[in-house]
Amino acid sequence: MIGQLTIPFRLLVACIYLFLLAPILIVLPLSFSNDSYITFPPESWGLRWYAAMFSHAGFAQALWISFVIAVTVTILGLAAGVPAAFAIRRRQFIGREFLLNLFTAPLLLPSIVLGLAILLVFVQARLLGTYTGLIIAHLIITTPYVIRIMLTAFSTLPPSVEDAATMLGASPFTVVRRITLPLMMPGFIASAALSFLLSFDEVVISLFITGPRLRTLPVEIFDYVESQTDPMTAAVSVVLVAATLLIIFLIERTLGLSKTIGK
Amino acid sequence: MQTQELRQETPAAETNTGDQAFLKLKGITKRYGADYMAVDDLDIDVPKGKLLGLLGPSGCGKTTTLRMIAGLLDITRGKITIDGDDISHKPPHKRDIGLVFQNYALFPHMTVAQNVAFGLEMRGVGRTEARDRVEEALEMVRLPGYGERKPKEMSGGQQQRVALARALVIRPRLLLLDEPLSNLDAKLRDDMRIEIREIQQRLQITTVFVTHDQVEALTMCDLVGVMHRGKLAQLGTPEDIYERPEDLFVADFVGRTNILDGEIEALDRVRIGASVYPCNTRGLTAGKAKAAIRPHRISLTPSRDRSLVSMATNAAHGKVTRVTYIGDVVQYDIDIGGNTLTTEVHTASAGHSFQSGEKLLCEWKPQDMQVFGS
Repeated sequence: MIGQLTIPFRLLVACIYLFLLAPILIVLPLSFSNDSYITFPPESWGLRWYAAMFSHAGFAQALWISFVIAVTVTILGLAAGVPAAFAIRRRQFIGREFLLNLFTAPLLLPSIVLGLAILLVFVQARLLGTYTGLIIAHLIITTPYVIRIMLTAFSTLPPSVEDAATMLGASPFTVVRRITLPLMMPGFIASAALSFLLSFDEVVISLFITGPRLRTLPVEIFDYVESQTDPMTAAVSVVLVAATLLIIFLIERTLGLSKTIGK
Repeated sequence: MQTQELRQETPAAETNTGDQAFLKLKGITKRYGADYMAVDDLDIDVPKGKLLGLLGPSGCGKTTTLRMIAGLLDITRGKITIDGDDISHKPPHKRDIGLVFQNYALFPHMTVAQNVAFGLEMRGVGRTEARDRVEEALEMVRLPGYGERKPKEMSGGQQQRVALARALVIRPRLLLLDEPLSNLDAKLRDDMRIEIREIQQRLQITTVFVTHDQVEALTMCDLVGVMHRGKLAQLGTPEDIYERPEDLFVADFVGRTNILDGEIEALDRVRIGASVYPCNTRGLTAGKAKAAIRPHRISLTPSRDRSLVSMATNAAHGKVTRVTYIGDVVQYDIDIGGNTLTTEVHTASAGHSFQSGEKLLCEWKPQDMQVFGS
C-alpha cells in the first residue's frame, strides 16, 4: 500500500501535517525574535526573550511548581490507579462495573464543569491555591487515564505465565516482581508519561484553583499573554514543546527497548 | 478409527509395580456457587511412574481436576496425597509439581535458558549447576544450543518442548500436562505424543495428562480416567476403556460406535427391530436398552443364505445406503431394516467392495455387542 499513494492523497496528508504543525511553525521563529512586541515574521532576530524568560522570576518559579506537581501527581496516580485496575481486572466482587465507571467518569466530563465543581468543593475545604488542592485536582484528571491504560496492560498479560511461575516455585511476591511487573512495564511507562504530561499541561482546572502565590506554568503563561504582547511566551512555548518531545522520545526509546527484550 | 493400531506397547506387568498408589485423589470435589459440581467426589490412585490420562469432553471437569492437583484451584472437599504427603492445602509454589500448559506459558521477556532455569533459581540451585542442568534438559527435549533464543523466535512445537524442559528440570515429584498437544498440527502432534511418552517412561515420572482426544489417551497412557459431568465414568487401562466400556457414555465417547435402540429380552439377548441377537447385556435381564457395536467389528460379506452363517455369529441382512472413501478405510452405511449401521473396512484387506444399493450380510460376534440399560 505504501508507496502507491496517489498524488491527491499525498497532498491531503501534507495539509494535515501542516495544520497540526502550524502552531510550532509560527511559534518557533517567533521565539527567536528580538522585537519588543509580537510581529510575524519578526523584524530582528536574537535570543533576547530566552534570556528574559530565564531571568523572569514568575516563569522560573511556575516551572518548578508545575514540575513538582506533575511528578507528585504521576506517582500518586500510579499508586492509586494500578491497584484499582488490578482489582477491577483480577478480582470478582459486587460493584466492579460500577467502580470502573465511577473511576473513569471524569474522562467524559468537560474540564470546565469539572473545574467549577472542584472550585465549589475546594472553597469549602480551603484548598484553593495550595499544593494539596492542585495535586488532588490533577489526580482527578490523570487517574482515570492510568486506570484505563493499566486495565489494558493487565488484559494483554499472556495467560498462565503467572501460574507457570508459581508452579516452578515462585512465591506470590516473586511472581509479581519477576513476571507481572516486567511484562507490564510498557503500561507503567505509558501511564506515567501521560499523567506527567496531562498534569504539566493542565490549564482549565488549574485556572480555577491556583492562587497568587501558587501558579503553575500554563497558568502563568496564560496570565502573561493577557497582559503583555512580547514574544517571551513564544520562547516559553518552545521550551515546553522541547521538553514534551524529549519525554515522548524517551518513552519511545524505552518502550521500543522493552519490545525487543519482551514479547 | 485406528486407535488400536496406533497404540504403543504398554507394560503388561502392571501388577508388579503398580499396586502402591503414588498420587492419591480421595473424594476430590469442586463446587461452584450453591450447587454446581465441577468435579464431584473423584477417587483416583496413580501408581508410581505411571501415566494417567484424564479424558472427557470440554466441561467434564478434567482441567479443574488438574488445577486442583496443581494447587491453582482450591478443593471444596477431599484429599490429595503424593507419596503419602498430604498436599490438599499446600500452596501451589510449595507442591513441587511440574505443569505444562496448553498455551505453553513461556515467559516472553526471558530467553529459553532463563525460562528453563527459573525453577532452579527459585530452588537456590547454584549458577554452574543450573547451567549444566538447563543444557541437559534442553538436550533431553532435543533443543541443545537453543538457550539464547527468545520464545517468540521458536515454533509451536519447539515452545512446547521448552515448556516440557522447564517443567522437568526441577525434577518434580509429579508432572501434569494440560492438553499439551492441542495447539500443534496433526503431524507434529503424532511426533510429540511419542516423544512425551518416551521421556515420561525414561524418567519414570508419575504423570497426569488431560486431553479431550481419545487417540492421545489410548496411545500414551497406562491408565485412562474417562470423565463425564464432573464424575469419573470409568477408570482402567486403555484396553478396558475401549473393549469393556462400563457405560454408554464411555462406549460412545471413546472410539466410534453404532448405538442402536433395543430391548433386553433376557440375559445376553437383545431385540433390535424384528431380530433378537445374542450379546453382552452385562448382567441386565430386562428393560429398554442401547446396544453399542464398533464399526470395524462388523464384517461384511456379499448377501447369502443366513443358514450358512455359524450360529455363534450375529448376522443381519442389509442394504448399502452410502459409501464414504476415507483412504485407509472405506466406510459403509448399511440399512438393516429401520436401523443404520456404520461399518468400516480396511482398503487393503477389502476382498470385495460394495456399491451403494447393494445387498449384503453384516456379521459380528456377540461379545462385540455391548448392551447398556437406558
